[in-house]
Amino acid sequence: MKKIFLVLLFSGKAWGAACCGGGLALPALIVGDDRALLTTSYSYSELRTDVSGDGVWRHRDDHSLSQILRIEGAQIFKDRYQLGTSVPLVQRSAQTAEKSGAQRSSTGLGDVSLNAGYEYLPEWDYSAWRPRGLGFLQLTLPTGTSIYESDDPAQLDARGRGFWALGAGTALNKNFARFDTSLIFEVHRSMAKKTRTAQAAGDVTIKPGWGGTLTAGAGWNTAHYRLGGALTWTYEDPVDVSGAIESSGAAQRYATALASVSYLYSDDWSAALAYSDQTLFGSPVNSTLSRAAVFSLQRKWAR
Amino acid sequence: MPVRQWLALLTLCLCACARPNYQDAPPPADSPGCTVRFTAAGLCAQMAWENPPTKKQMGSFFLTFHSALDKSAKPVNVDPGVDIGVVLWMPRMGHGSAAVRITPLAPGQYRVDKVFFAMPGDWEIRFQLKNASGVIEEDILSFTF
Repeated sequence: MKKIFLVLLFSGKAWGAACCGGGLALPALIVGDDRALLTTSYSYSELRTDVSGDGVWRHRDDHSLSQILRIEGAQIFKDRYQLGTSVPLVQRSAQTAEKSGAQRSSTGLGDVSLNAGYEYLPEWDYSAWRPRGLGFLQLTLPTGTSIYESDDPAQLDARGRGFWALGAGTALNKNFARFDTSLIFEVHRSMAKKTRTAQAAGDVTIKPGWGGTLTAGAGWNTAHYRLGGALTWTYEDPVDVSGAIESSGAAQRYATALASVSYLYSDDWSAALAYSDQTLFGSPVNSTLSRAAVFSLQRKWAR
Repeated sequence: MPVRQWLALLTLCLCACARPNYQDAPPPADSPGCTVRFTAAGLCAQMAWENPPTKKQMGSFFLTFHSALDKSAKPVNVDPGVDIGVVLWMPRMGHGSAAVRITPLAPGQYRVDKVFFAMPGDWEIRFQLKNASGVIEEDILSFTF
């Protein structure tokens, strides 16, 4: 049962992400003994604070909201290999200038991701210390409009990062009696692109760089419940812009805290409620911080 | 895991708590005199807010050009002779805001409206002289929103 809840912990990625389109999500992975899983999650987040490159915080009072309906699936094949995907539908809304403070919204697809995993440290025999280890590759498709190309004054149509990105990482987890612990490390490289944008009144080449996330999590389990927490640190290289505008950008950094309660309804079904907050930890810079509530429902199929 | 170790972990987490440095943006001020300089073209421009932008309302300002050599109290307006551009840019994040609208009012005088900053933070107002091949010259005013 604990293994089932671990999957839910990783599904906590539905948090509202820093600035508009969102950060790179952790991949949908099977870390337990399941053959397949399907997760549907709904997150409701409020963009609370903008933090400048100097670390100065400014409150937002335009009721910037982000709602994400995300469908994730993963399937094991050849015993230790797996494939998965994550498809987010994003709605962003805010009080905007065009309608003198009226709430306006934009809905569409966010960045779709595909991932492949390999269990390089299987748990075939008992070990007091050796964790279960999973390596993964993740390809992010720029299916959501990015903040760099948005023509909306409030950038409500910015629903993704807007870059092709290839990431690699590892997830390690270990159970100790009623407790479970996990560590996920991921690095990714976002690809440059050339685009024409009204923002810069011309053609620009947008060059992002490297980025990464580190997540540490733990949980306490009973027969049907799991109480969990996780902290994720996120970093993105500066975005360099050249062409009609020359701009060197600055690095982005923030930390996301997550607390969750999971309930195992049956061997196949489980649900989780989570709260995430980006204003609590770390020294964020050059970022927009949010708070989010997440509900997720998961169906799994045993091997 | 023993309670003592959990307490140690909790203490470690609390040590990593964020320390917010909240600050409100100052109200936008007019830029008197020759604050926008086009050295190669020998021009200056004065920017004067008509309606400063707020978080919920678009703003507008007037832009008036004169010769850089004209040091009088009331300099004579000069037509720059080329197209002008105004770009709102957030340099650290590497993106801009929606395009503004520039309306010529008289030779050397323009009204710039639909000025809206998509989020709080440090912005640049980039003033450009342009021809068919692109930007000829540019000057940048920093702006905290």
